[in-house]
Amino acid sequence: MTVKLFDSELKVMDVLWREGDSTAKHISDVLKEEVGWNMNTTYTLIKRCIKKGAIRRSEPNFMCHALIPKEEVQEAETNELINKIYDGSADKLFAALLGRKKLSPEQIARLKQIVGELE
Amino acid sequence: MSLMAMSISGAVLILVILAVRAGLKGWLPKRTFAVLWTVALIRLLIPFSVPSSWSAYTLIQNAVPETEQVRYFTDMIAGNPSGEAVRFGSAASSRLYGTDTAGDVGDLPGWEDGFGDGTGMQSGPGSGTQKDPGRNPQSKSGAGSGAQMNSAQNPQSKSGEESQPNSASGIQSGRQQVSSIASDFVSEEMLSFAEHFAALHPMLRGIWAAGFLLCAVAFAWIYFRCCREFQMSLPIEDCFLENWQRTHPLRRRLSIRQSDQILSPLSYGVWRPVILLPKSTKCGDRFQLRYVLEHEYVHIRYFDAAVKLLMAAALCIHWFNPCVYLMYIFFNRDLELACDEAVVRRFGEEEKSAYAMALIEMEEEKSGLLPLANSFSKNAIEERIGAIMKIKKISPLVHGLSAALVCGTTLLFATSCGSYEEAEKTMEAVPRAEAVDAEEAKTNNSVETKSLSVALKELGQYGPSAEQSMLLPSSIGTAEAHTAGDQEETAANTAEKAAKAAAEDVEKAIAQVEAEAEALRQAEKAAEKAIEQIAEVTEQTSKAAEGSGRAEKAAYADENGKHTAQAEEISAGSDTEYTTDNPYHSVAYMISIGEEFEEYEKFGLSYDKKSDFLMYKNQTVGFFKDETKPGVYTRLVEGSGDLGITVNREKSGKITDFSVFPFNENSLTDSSVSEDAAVKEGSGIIRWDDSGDIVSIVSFPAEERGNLEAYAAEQGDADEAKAVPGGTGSTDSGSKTEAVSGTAVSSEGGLKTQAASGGSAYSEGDPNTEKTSLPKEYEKLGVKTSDEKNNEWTYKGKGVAVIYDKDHWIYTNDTIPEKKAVYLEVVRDKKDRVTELREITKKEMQKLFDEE
Repeated sequence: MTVKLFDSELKVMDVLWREGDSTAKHISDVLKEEVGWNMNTTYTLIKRCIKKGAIRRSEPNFMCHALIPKEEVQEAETNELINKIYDGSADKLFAALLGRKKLSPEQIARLKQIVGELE
Repeated sequence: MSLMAMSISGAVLILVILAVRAGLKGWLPKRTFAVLWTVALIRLLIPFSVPSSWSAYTLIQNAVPETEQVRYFTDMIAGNPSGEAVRFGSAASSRLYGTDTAGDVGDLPGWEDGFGDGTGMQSGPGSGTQKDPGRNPQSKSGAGSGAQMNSAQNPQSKSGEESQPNSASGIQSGRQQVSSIASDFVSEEMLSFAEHFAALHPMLRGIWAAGFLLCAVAFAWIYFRCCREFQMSLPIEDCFLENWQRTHPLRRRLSIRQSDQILSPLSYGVWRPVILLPKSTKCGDRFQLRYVLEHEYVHIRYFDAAVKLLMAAALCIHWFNPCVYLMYIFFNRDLELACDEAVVRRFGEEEKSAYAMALIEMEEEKSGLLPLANSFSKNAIEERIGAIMKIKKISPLVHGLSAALVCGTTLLFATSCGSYEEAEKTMEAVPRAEAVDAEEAKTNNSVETKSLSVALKELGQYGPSAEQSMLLPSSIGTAEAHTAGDQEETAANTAEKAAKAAAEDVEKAIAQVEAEAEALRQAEKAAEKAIEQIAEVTEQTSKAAEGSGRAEKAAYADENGKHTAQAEEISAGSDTEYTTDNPYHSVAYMISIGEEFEEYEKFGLSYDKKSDFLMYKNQTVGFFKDETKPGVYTRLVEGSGDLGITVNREKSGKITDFSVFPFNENSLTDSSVSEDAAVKEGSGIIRWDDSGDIVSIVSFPAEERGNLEAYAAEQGDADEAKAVPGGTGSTDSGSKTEAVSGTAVSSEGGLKTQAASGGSAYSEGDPNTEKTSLPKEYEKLGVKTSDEKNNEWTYKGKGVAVIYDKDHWIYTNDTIPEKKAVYLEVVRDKKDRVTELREITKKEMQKLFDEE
């Protein structure tokens, strides 16, 4: 079985692969140091990994155990998730360089043409 | 300013900006529009306005006092070619803005009901001279530029009460002369109309609140979800980025991170901005990355993230106002355009096509990931690319112009009607003070409208005649409004005027209206009275509240006074009781202010201030001991009293009785006797336990020592407690302090042997050897015992007056003249080891005690 994970989830798994079974607290501490995530961020990611079946959690202390070896993990493709979270007016709420909508090849060709004309 | 007034004046500003934008887009620097939008945003968010005589509202109001002008003006604005006077305010207003989108508004359910029905529209199916405002051919096609009236009317019609907007407009028109009804609506009156309108229904407020909450929740949800996702981004380590950051300083801490959850670069965070790069960006492509970073950097520098949030807030508040949606769309665009412009300027114009191509390539890359292509944003990106390519050098003249434009627009449209009174005078003298005072207007108006709606219902009974005449309702409105607003002008007068304007066959109805109005007037008066009464009651209540507040204050002051008095007493007491050289409280005093003292008093113990002695049956107490539950406290005091008292308690801690025994100095050990002299003079050692309670130990009779040792042993931590030198001290469990007798202090080393020897800390009967048990900790740091002077400790050649060892003990010796005295504060480290003896002044020492 392969599990598709995003970068941030991989980061969590990395800690488990590297250090063996750890408590959520420990993972959080390590990642706070490494990538500056706060506790909630890490916990959310651990929960996501649990949901995806990459981590098993046991009591006490929210002990986390990696269910899959490093080799079996696939990087998830970016476009699979993006729309779900980054939808609607999100690009209006944040200063995004480009709008969210995709352009067709024709439109892109047209834009290049505009640049060419005005140059 | 009411919400409606804000919304409408904001909308006017938005439309003006859109017009300017459409006309001068290519000519002005893009930042101009961003600034203009910001002004509109402020107009929408801040509930008060600066009155200005240059305000467009003032100017219009001043410009149109005459009927001819009014008609001309109104028609001109409304673009009504027929030149027919606009008879009804709301009609005029909708024309004024000329914004009704043909289909949009007219098709809205309830619009026509709400509008046409009761207002006595001229545009009955037969009239044909005037078109329904919703179908005004003049209206621009302006996408979605729905008018104020639309927004205002919409919730109104939803609420399903058609009669009331009419009455509201009736009031409005009535306030003015019939001849200049229309002019109201090109003036501030429009705003107060809106105010009144907003005040009409609690129901409308409910609808507004619901919409507001819905929008706010939606935005917040999106925002926080995105933020959470963005927080999961990973830092990038890249020397290019580090270099870039070094050349782009920012007061706030900027971080650059990477996420695989986004497709195009973005920045977020106002106080801790983050530039987030998508994983797919060709980060290796430094050339492109430069543009990206620069773009986001400009966003961050201009606080665009905050502006966007404010925009969202404005949208939530003015969700009913379509103009605000327009602003949202175009402000966002203009932010990007202004940003692009700044980037191109930073890089130089030569690079503008490279920048444009970079944007397009990123679009390409992004779109390549998804087969779904959407043409929605085509215009925006085309506009953007076009704008980038057209960036030219802007002459100072244009900069000046754009600044003037911003100032002018702000002055004209962001201010409110300034010379209000003057404008009034040019019109008829109609008291409209309440329009200024929105609050008052609201109360008055709600009363008016209530009675008016009743009146209108009754009017309905006149059925045919009323319906026949289009003008009737308006005249009713006028008449009624006059009764409301203008006491001087009789209702009849107004009605007549209205009648002249109307067809003759309405006269009858008008007479009825008159009567109606009369009744209404009375009803209104009653209502006013009621309001007054309510106001009175409120006043009374507030007065009462004030009164009680005062009483409370007084009580408080009293209490304070008491406290002060007490404090004074205390300080006075301490002044008289102790020599100025000895500000430290005696143990007897400490006991007397202890929380347990009340209980002692029940058994006959008292405290005599003058002699500073505890008294029992008129005899002074020389020894007092209360050993309660372990760890609570033990109090011991000595002195030259007559009696010794031990407090006996039962297991529950309740005091059973006192053991009283005769007390004399002989009962003390020989060595202690000599110490005792010093003690009596004010030297003593007071110990505090952790909770700050005093656990004071001075010296006490020999026969007690055994008990104390046993007691200390009981605590089981004699080792830790380092206590009981010569059996003269006792400790609480866990306390790290030395217990002391007189000036005797234990030290870890000497403790056990001394204790074991059963003797005191001093070599008994040998005055030449060490008189005091100076703690070794102190000795190491330079405190010495003086052989010549009895027991005196010295430090650097001076006599030690006080050693203050916080939470441990205090040594005092007030026999030392102040000039030769030294005051030491003991500094301990975390492990409770003495690290330093700090010489402080007497004043500082005093302070330390006060803090204690």
